[in-house]
Amino acid sequence: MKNALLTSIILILVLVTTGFMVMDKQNRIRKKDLRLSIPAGFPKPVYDRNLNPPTPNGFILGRKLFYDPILSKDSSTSCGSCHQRFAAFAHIDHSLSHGIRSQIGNRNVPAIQNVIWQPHFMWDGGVNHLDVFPIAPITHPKEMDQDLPGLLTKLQASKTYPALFKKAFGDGTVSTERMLKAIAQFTQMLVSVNSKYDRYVAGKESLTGQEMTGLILFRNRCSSCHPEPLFTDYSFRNIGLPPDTAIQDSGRAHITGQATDRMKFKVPSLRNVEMTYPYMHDGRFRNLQQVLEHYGKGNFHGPNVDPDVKLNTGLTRNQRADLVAFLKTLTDTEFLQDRRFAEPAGEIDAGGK
Amino acid sequence: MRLRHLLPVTILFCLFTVPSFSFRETERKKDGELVIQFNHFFGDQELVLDSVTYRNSLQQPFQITAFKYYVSNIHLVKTDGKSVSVPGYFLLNEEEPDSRKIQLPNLPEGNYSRIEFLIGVDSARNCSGIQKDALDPAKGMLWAWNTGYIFLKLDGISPQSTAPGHKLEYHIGGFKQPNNHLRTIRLETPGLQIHSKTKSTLGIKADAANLLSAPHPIDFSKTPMVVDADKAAGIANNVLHLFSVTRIQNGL
Repeated sequence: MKNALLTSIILILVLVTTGFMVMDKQNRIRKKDLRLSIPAGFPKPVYDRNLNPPTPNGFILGRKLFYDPILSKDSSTSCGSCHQRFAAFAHIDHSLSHGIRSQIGNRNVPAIQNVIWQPHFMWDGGVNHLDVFPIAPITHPKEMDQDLPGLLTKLQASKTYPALFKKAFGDGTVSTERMLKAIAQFTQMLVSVNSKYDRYVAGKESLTGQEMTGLILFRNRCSSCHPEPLFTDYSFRNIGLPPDTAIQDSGRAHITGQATDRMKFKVPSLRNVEMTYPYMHDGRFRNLQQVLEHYGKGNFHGPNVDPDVKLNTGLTRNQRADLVAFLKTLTDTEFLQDRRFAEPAGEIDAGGK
Repeated sequence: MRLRHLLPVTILFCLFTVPSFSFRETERKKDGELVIQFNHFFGDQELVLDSVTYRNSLQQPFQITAFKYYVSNIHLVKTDGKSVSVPGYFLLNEEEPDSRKIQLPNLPEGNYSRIEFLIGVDSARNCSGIQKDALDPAKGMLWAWNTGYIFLKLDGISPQSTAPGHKLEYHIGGFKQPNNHLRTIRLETPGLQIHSKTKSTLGIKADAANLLSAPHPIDFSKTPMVVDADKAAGIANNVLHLFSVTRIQNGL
């Protein structure tokens, strides 16, 4: 009897310890985990990583902030609530963003990937720098509705954050600058450059016949707006979608005040596009077939429709299938399953050097 | 590498370094201090937040609940035309008296005829990512959805306002064409002198009444709010008439 009790205690202790060890290994970030290897052919990033070089403790703090609902006014919603790792940090199956108090926003949650190349952010390009980007969703009344002074007070008063700020920045003072730099240390690492397409370009893997046909078709019909290797030229274009009268979204014109920019939206990257459904700024298309049907039908709405959009008209059913086959080669499973970017389990710490 | 190869390098080094050292030394000896004291008015009365009812040029009554703005890119121009630039971004807030006093401790001695400064934050700083101190976004002076600092903010309440809560909000910002609302203020400072190791004072009046009057009078019933750069063109030009020099006191 006594022996049985002792065995159980030992067994429980071993299991708990192993659990912590596994958790710790999953969460741990070393310096070498923060190195970026960017394949040949990619342009120089626009984000200057030297001004905010990621450190293990800075990255861990940024990741914790990204996944922590404390960033919202009622502590219900985190960045990660809408930006899901397995969807390239877009929101699968939600056409419009969901904010606190069950509010529905005006736009589809965009993916967060390869942001170090992005010259501007948001569907309308209103935000001009990766560092300041999170202020928009944090303070937006339909998203996290949290004012910055209130957030700094919450973080400073928390049990865990001052210690994490101290590890990352040398002392425990919480500031807007440190908070946003930490988040940017996390988001700048979200780099997707290892899809089947990338391995094909590097000569490490071959495409199937259908994927190859799709790639050739893509280069003829789609690449003027979605050029390789980032699959976007970061321009704003009107693709002839009829405006949703319930939302009244003027797109780029919201930023520039220019009537000719009405219904122009940022050309999104097509990397991981298989996983970022639904599509378009308002998530109106559930799948890639619907997107290609919109282009293929050539029934474009309103003035200022971009001339390049018309390159796609008249796609046959087979051509659409070939294009979809190619687009799926842009899925980067390694990125989508990267443990470094996962929501951390329990209390965490930087390991090793 | 032989020693004689080092000679030209050494000479060059001396040529550049020695004069700059001695220059700095003499400059420092002749440095004086300037305090720029901004005083907020409405017409000829000192501005009071919340409790005093003012009237705009259209005789519409209102109270002011907030008045703040950025001053940056300060230049002081000497009578000989040489200009001294002062780094730094200052957020001047009616609610914080200390914020309205800008202290410049290391100004070269001399006679100064003009001061120039920007109301707002220059475009370079608007595009450089997260900032701190006076430019900390937690100060509530950064537009998050269309990145850019609010250069000047005047908030209030008027029964004439057609906005929710009868609020008035005039937030002037925008650094990109065609909505560049950065305005440079140039003020003559006749007789202003900086003497070494003394303190001179320059008093500048900011008259909030002028923000709402000439050359673009603001009608509270028609324009209770300006919170977009593309709507700020008129009121931004009123900023040019906000400031005047009221006092010059030279240190002896």
